[in-house]
Amino acid sequence: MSVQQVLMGVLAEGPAHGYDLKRAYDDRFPGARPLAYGQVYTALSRLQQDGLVEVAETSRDGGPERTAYALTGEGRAALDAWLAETEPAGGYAAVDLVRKATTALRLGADADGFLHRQRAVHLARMRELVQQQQQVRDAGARIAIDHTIYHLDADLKWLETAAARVAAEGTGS
Amino acid sequence: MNESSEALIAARGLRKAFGRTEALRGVSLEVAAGETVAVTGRSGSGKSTLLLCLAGVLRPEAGEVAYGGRLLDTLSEAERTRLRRRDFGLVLQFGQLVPELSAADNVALPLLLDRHDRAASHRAALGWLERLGALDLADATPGELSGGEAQRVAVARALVTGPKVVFADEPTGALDTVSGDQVLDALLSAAREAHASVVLVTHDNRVAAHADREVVVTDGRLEDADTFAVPR
Amino acid sequence: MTRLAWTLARAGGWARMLLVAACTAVVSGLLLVAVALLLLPENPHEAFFNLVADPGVRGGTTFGTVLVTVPALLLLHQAVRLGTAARERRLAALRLAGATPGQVRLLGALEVGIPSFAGGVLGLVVYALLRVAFGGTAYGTAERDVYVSTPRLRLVPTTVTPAWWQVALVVLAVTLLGVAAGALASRGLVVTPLGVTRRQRTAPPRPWGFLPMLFAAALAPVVVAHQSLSTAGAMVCVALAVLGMASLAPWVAYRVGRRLRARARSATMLLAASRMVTQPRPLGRAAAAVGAIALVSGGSAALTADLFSTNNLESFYVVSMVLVFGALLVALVVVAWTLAVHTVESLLDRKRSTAALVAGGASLRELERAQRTECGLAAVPLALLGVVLGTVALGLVLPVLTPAGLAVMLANLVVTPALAWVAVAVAVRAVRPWTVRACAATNLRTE
Repeated sequence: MSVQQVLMGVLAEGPAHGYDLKRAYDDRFPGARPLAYGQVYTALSRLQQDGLVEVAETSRDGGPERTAYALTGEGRAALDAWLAETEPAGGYAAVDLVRKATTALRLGADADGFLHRQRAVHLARMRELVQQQQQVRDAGARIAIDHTIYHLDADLKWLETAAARVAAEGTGS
Repeated sequence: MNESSEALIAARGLRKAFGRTEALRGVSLEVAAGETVAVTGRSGSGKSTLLLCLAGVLRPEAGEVAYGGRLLDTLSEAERTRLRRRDFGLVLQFGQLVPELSAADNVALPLLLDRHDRAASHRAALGWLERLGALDLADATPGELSGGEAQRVAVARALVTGPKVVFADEPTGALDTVSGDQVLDALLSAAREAHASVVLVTHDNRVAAHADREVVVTDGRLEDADTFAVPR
Repeated sequence: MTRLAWTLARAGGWARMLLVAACTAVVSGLLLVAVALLLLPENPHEAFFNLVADPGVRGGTTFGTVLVTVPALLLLHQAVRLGTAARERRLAALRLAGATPGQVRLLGALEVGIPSFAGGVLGLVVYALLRVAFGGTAYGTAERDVYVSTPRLRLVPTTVTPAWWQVALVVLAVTLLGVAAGALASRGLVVTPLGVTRRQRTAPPRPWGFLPMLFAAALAPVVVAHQSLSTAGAMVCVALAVLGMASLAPWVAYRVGRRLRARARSATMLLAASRMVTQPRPLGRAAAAVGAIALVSGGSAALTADLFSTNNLESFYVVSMVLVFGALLVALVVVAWTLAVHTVESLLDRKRSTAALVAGGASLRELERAQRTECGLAAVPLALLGVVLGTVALGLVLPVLTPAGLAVMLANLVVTPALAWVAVAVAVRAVRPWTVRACAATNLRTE
């Protein structure tokens, strides 16, 4: 699902061809499996259907037809709405969190707000778990809860360092 | 948050600078009775300064701190000292115990300063050490204690006078995870039993997760001091 | 190398360097006076006070001059100790940067040696001043009363001057004393590349100091019996007694501290007594001079009592006694400063816990009370002990005692410890700026 949002995020930086979109996605998530072209075009056609993306221009350079896609106004609004939503805290694969954070931080708009809101959600969940842990006597259950808490903590720490890295890159240091 | 309960500590517009560096740039904060507040933020953000201003240890250049409705400014030096002795407890990250006193004497010290009987103070000190699982350390000097043990003694010393507010500045910061958890548990459960508020400065998210709410200090200012977002 | 040493010395602080130089200047000046006294022929060519003119007493006066350097030496030791930890840290950092241990030792020696040497040379000025103020009148010249504080106080030879090689020896000796004090001060520190710590639990001090005093007590009747040994024997007795007192001081501090710690009822007493128990030696050394002063004071009071009793109130004797008590008073002031230096060092060693104590509800007044108690408990018992011993020792020897004489001795028994307490109170008050700084909340910050 969030592949669409990442592509919208790329398009928010400027119109791009399908090939460039795949390249950008792979560059952003070097650890993940590379995006297949099929996935890109499926996502693009869904986005077009929903009116969030439109064809910007078609050019013929004496080669095959190449279409450039651009984000519509509605698309921009939908992207902003997605970024403004927090991700639920938990599930330590947290792929969605990583995708959203990367997109938000790169776009730079209200990165602090994003961090703050996401942190609040994570902390609330951690607090729930802490209280749960205090009521449970069984050591096995407690260490299971510990595991989740530690991973949530890791997510939070990663968010902070990610923001710092992006900020540093922005100032050229 | 129940708005009906009057805040135990109310700070408004605190400003504090050290030389040319502005540590606090207008911070307002309220702490209710019995609640645990985590003050988080990066190093150098001003959280320790905020804590010390709330505890009446530092005098802010502007703004005011009220405890139980009374402005700290209006108190004489003697009254402030008495307040810090009886109503407040302070736990630092390290290095607060008097090196030449035994652990039991260290814990008894606030009571002695308050002119309690030596024997009674000693008994109370031993009682608190036992509550914190540190009774066997009673005769050791701080130099002979490990970090976690010393912090437990420090917590006992902070709680021995039955304070209404405990101020803790990164109490687990110098400790490893396991010792830190033990000290934190000891501090918070003892404070809870005594119905004391806790203002806890920390940069550790897991420690912050033990509090009722969190306030984040950035560059001497507070981000909106709300409770956590309610999970959906 | 010398430039580095100079930079390091400056890093240690001007005040400390000046203090070291001042102490060595005083020691050097006094030693030069002693040398000059030794150079005087049997019958000197100038008019002196009988203390110096009389060849029999002259030895004692020379010895006394050397004795007066003892408080200055003790103060030198304290001054060098001030900031030793910081200096060791600097030197350890140099070692990490690749300096050899030999180079580092040399630098450490230079850092203390340079101000000591400067002070040693300055001693010439001190000597010159003493000559001008207390110089003898050479036969054939007019009286020079205008420079003299009280009439006929001529103690320092003007017809003889130490030779250049003697001066050089004195300066060298004084410099070496400074360096030795520095080495001594570094002895208790454990330095590793990771940092500097002072060894915590050292063995408690032992009362070896009683031995030389017993020796002196045993020797005294022998000296009194054999008139020929009189001055030399008396000097040996006094030296042994002084040595004994100085060595006893840490033990006294330790025992008194332990007693009081067990029975402490207030926070200030607990703090003071505990500090005495854990660090008896520095306090003991600082208070050692008090014991010595008190001993001499007691003996002098007995002598004065003798004067009153035998109605032997010649101006010679009276002025001598006034001189002695005056010198004792000056020495006491020096000791007060020594105690102040010790208190400052203790404060600088534990800034964080002091600040935490104040933040937890102790007041500055309570802290100062603890300081006064700590220093006072080390000094006053020693003062009492010393004055009693001195009074009894000499009092036993004297044949006749009228009520007037007895009154003098008893008055002194009270006044000497009282003055010691005053010295302590003055020292603690003088150190208040440092105490305040140690309590400052900035010492609590973690960030």
